[in-house]
Amino acid sequence: MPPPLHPPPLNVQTPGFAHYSLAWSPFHNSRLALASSANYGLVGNGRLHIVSLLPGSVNGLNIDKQFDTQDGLFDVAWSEIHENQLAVASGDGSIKLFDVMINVREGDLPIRIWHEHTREAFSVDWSNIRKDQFMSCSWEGSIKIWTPELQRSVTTIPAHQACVYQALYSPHLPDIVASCSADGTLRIFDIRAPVSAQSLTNPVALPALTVPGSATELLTLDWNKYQQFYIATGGVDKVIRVWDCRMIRLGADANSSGPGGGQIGGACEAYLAGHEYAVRKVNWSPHRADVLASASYDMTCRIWTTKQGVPSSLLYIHDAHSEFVSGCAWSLYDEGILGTCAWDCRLNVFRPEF
Amino acid sequence: MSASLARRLKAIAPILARSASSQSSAVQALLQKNASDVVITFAMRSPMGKAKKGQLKDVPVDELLSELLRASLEKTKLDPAKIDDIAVGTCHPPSPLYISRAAALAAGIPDSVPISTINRLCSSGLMAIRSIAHSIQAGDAEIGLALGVESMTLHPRPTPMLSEGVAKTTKANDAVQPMGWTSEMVAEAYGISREKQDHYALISHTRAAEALQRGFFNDEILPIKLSDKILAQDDTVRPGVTAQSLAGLKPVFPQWGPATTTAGNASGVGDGAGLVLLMRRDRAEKEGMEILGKWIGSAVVGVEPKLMGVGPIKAIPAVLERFGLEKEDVDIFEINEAFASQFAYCVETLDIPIEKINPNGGSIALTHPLGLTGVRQAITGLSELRRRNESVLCTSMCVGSGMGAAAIFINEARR
Repeated sequence: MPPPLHPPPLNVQTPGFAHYSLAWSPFHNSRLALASSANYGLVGNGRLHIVSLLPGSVNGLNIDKQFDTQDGLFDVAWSEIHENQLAVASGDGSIKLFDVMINVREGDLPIRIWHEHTREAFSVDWSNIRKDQFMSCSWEGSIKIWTPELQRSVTTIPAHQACVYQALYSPHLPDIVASCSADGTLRIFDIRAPVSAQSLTNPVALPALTVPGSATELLTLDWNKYQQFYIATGGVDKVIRVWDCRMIRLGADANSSGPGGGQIGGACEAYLAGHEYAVRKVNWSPHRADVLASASYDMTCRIWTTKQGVPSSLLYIHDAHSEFVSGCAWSLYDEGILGTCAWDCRLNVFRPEF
Repeated sequence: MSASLARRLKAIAPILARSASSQSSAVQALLQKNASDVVITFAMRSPMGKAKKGQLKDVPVDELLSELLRASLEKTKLDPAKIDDIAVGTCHPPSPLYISRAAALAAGIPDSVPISTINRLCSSGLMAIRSIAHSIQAGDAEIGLALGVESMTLHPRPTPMLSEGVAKTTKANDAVQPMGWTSEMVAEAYGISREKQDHYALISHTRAAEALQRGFFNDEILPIKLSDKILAQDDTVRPGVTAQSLAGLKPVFPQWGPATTTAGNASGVGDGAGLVLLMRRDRAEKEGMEILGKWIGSAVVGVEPKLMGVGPIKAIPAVLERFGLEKEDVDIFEINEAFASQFAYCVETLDIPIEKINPNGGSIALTHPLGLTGVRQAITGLSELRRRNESVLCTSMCVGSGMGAAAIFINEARR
């Protein structure tokens, strides 16, 4: 019997612009955004693409609009309050807000620019609880909280003394954020706690919890959407780990645990090895508590289960890309639809079968 | 622009360096799995204690051995009747074979299981692993235990006495001199300054303190019950050591050579025990044991007794050459820090990046219970490779009386 045929992934190319991240719209099930950079993000411009799914068309995806920026774009997040707005993180440290409908000419300008980060801004995340708030992180080590209304950041958290690669809001609690860093740690902050730097010489905010997640750099994290305080991490050591951080103490207790700062801990609940190169992005399924996707420098995107007692925790390997896979994201509306983007300038959208 | 380019290239460098490092064909050959391989299915140690002051100061060697064996059997669920042989590396306790045999029997190992002890000073633990590995390779045994133990508190180095006739030979006389003297001789012969020694010592102390704080040693320590207390942490690491505090220490051997050795840049004096369970791969699979890693092989060499600390400079290239390896093929080196003088000279002569050597500190910070160290290096190195998801470990040490030893292990496990 011939093997079952999988339909090829929907596919669109953005020649000359290598992808860094993609994000599905929380308002429209067929719309997504793609952050990209010329020259693989090393030098040169950035470009934000707005892409829509066109079932039945030749390649199934259409680039509706693009916005050009001075420096490379490393991440993008859709507004949770305004269906046409989205924020991007740029290599020059700036955070920009675009409106898809403000449509004057090619290369439209952003409707807001904030320039407070002093180094590359590497991730942005919009709160899905406090929908007027979003967050960015940067290689200078800080996390900043913003609202579109204010000209300046609402809060700055000096989170790490090394590059912060990703910072995300808890999907369950409005004031809890997690970050991961080149220092190998995953940290959870309670943004209600006063930002009391430990000292002038060590100006780092006290995390509620520090998880020593890896001996090498942690490049990505994601909160499980079903289990509170379950966080997946991935990084240079090629391994995805799932941490149970429920031992965390929050609120008034968060920064009262004495000198040295916060709690240290986190129980490693799952150890998913298989990627042959560093893991660049992890993304939990919004529909299944045990399923996550990972994008890697080994040019694959893999899908894993954290269920115990299965023959293999690796469910699926997507190997259609021919360069580093930089982003992966599950559709928020259509269960089982996954988008992947890569340095081969191709965006894939497909339904992995497992 | 150029600053940001440099920053972005630097950010991607570790990702590419680690990911793109293609393994040499020699490494690929060593990574292959065969039924006759000697594999390690368990490798843990007792917590270590500071000599004379620490948690093990009153614990006799037989009790330490016995409790480590008991805890290891419990943890591995290994039926002790299946053990074919045991080797214990230890240097200075009197009647070591008798107390080791007694310890095994007291731990519930049946009298049908034989035991031996091995003494090649600082490499004794490694020699115990080697002896069991060789027995398995020869077909004399399928399952064996290798241990290393020392109580520097209860059994410090006894002063060797030579007959007049033997002592007339200069090198013979050099071979029995105190280790501190050989440290000063290396410092003098190769011009290793006090500052350089303190620099390498500080690296050891800093790395060990950080590893302790990050809980890394918990992966290698088997909590054991001694005199009604569960001991689970080393008490040997001193956090907060600084360049200033090291520079302020007085020489401990003012009578010899340049007098650059101090309590802060020499290996710590400590007590402890460790254990490695080895078996043929097919037997491990049959027994349902998780395989942590694989024994590849070793080299032992002799060097000039007066400069005993240079042993690794001869031993490491010897073992690498045996298996067709380049030093770049090795992911982690565990090189014993007997003294910062000899360690600094070895590191710089071997020309290996310090990032690859003793990533969680060495004997200067952790202490150096002589019989344990060879076993501890294997345990510590394999544990760090698991954490990094890397493969090749080279352990090495200088050996009193003027020798060196080195061995290659392969990590096969994930954390």
